[in-house]
Amino acid sequence: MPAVLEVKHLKKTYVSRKGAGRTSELVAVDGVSFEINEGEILGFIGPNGAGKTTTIKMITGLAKPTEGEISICGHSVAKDRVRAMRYVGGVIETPDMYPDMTGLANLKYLVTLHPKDTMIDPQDATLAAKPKKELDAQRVEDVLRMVGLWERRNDLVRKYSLGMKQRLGIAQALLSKPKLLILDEPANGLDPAGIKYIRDLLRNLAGVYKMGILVSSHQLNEIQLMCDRVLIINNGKIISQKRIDELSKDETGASNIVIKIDKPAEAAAYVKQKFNVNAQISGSDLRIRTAMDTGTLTKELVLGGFNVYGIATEEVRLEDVFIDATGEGK
Amino acid sequence: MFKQLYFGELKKMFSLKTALIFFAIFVFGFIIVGLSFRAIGNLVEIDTVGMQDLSPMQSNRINVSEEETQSRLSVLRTELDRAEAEKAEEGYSYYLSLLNSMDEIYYLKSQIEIYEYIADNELYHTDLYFYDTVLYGVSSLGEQTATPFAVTMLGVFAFLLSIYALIIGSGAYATEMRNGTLKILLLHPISRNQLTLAKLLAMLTILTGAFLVIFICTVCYSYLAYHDPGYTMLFVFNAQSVFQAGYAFPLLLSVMSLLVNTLAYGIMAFFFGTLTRKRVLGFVLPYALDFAAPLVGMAGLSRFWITNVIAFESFFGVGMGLNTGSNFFLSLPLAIVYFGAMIALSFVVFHQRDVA
Repeated sequence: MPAVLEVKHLKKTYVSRKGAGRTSELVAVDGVSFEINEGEILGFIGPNGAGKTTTIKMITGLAKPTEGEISICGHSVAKDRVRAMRYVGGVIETPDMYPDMTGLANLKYLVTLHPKDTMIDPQDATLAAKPKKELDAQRVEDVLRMVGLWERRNDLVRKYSLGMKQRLGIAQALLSKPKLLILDEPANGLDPAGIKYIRDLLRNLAGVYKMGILVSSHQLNEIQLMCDRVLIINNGKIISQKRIDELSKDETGASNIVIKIDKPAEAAAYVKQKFNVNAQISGSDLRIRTAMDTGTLTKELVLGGFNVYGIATEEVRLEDVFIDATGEGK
Repeated sequence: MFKQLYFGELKKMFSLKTALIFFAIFVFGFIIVGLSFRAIGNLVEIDTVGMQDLSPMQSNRINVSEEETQSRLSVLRTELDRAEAEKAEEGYSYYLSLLNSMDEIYYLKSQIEIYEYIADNELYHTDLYFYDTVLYGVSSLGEQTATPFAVTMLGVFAFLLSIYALIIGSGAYATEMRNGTLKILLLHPISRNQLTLAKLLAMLTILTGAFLVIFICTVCYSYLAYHDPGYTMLFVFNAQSVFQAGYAFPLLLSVMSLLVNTLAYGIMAFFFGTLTRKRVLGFVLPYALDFAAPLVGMAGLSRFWITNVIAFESFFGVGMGLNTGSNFFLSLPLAIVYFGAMIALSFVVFHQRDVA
């Protein structure tokens, strides 16, 4: 899968003058490298002030990196920001739109800033013949319906709730059918139904339209449900990078397996002797840490003469991984 | 692409509400100023002598014979020699003009130019008029006619236009930074320089439009309410060359004064708003520069000061309102440099800046 975003050795240093020629340096982002592939949703998490937003601002060209390279669909942001931005849609920090315009007017204005060829679907040749105005109007309607704001399109943005602004922000980001979608806290201000709606929308965009999506959020449950991969950043450095479906596995590929079994003590001795792994007993549960899959383990235990009532890989919550990695809980 | 940016900026910057409020103030002011000038004009017409005393010359009408011209010229030349000798004695002091004061040498030179023009063209025993200051719509001739009336009223509305310019200019970037919409905008495939250019052009367009509304309303009213005597007048440009032009020529000077002033305030507000990211500073700093002018005058630098160099209309009178040492050919390049630098810096600053 080709990468839509490649970030290499990104560094951002803020120099502040303290008078009398003395300066102090603050390294906000320190050697961050990662990439996002087509159709992949990457969660970007970290404590407050870890460098998430600074990284995102550098990716979108709002801030200039001190060192490092960023390329979006092969176009360098430093050398050709305008071209690179053709492939990007996003909301940074807060979904701010022009408050004195209606939702529709906001999008109608912003859509004019995209060149015509971003509106054209390569599969549909008839679109190329249509005037840009027509394509724009159609696209605005499409994205408003996509985020569920079509009914409220004629209200002023200043009267929108935070959730509606969030949806409008996402709609705005989708106008140009971007290859890379960057969303900062997209679930902020949304009600549970809204959160699910946006999650499904993003999964659909990644799945059907092959968008690469970067989501930064503090809502770790949401990230766990939505993303394919997660990146944990702290003090400007990436400290952990994991696939969500492998969260429970450690570096050796081992994970905790919980087994409900009739004779836990004997079973513990059995697995110790057979596979040389230590097992813990809690009531009728047996907990072992191994890289073996549950199917093989069940078969072995049944062959050993035990009754297995249940077996499952212990679920690991992203929250625990996050707190573990950042040391925030200590 | 640029067209869309420009029209977008035009739409964002132009607030109908603000424009209507200003238009209402303008209409209200128009009625008050128009009526009061009318009343004052009627009073003055009864006592034209008092009015003439306000003018440095007895009247702006001259009708002279050949002998009178020559004797006047010799008197003026003696006066000029004396004035120049005095200046030479005390050193050509630039440290005198606290406010826009009249410079004696410029005044004498202008008059000599006029009489020499009369002698060269043998305009003896003819009614000649020259451009002078006007007060309450009354020329120093003591009558209220269309052009002086329009010129005075436009002078009054210059303040209103400059405030409008500050509101529009200071908000160009600062508002988008405060609202956070700049982040959304820069996520689109547009270059920062193009955005600055679009904003600048949109601002200049709106201000020119506002100026035109005020200008057209005022001139229409003046010419409908008052007659145009249709004289040809003498103008002294830059205290060194005399030329003749129609009675309505001062309107052109008003255009220059008012439009240049309005656009200049807009550019200053745009620059300070972009530089400081604060709308309030974009609004206040241009006025601070204006209020600092007398202080700069005390330091003898009046003729270099940014808010003085744009007062081009002062170069067409008879030495009135010209600062010591002022010269059109000093002011013009200085104005171009100052405002060119402000515009260029706005581009550079915004291009380099991290958007917070």
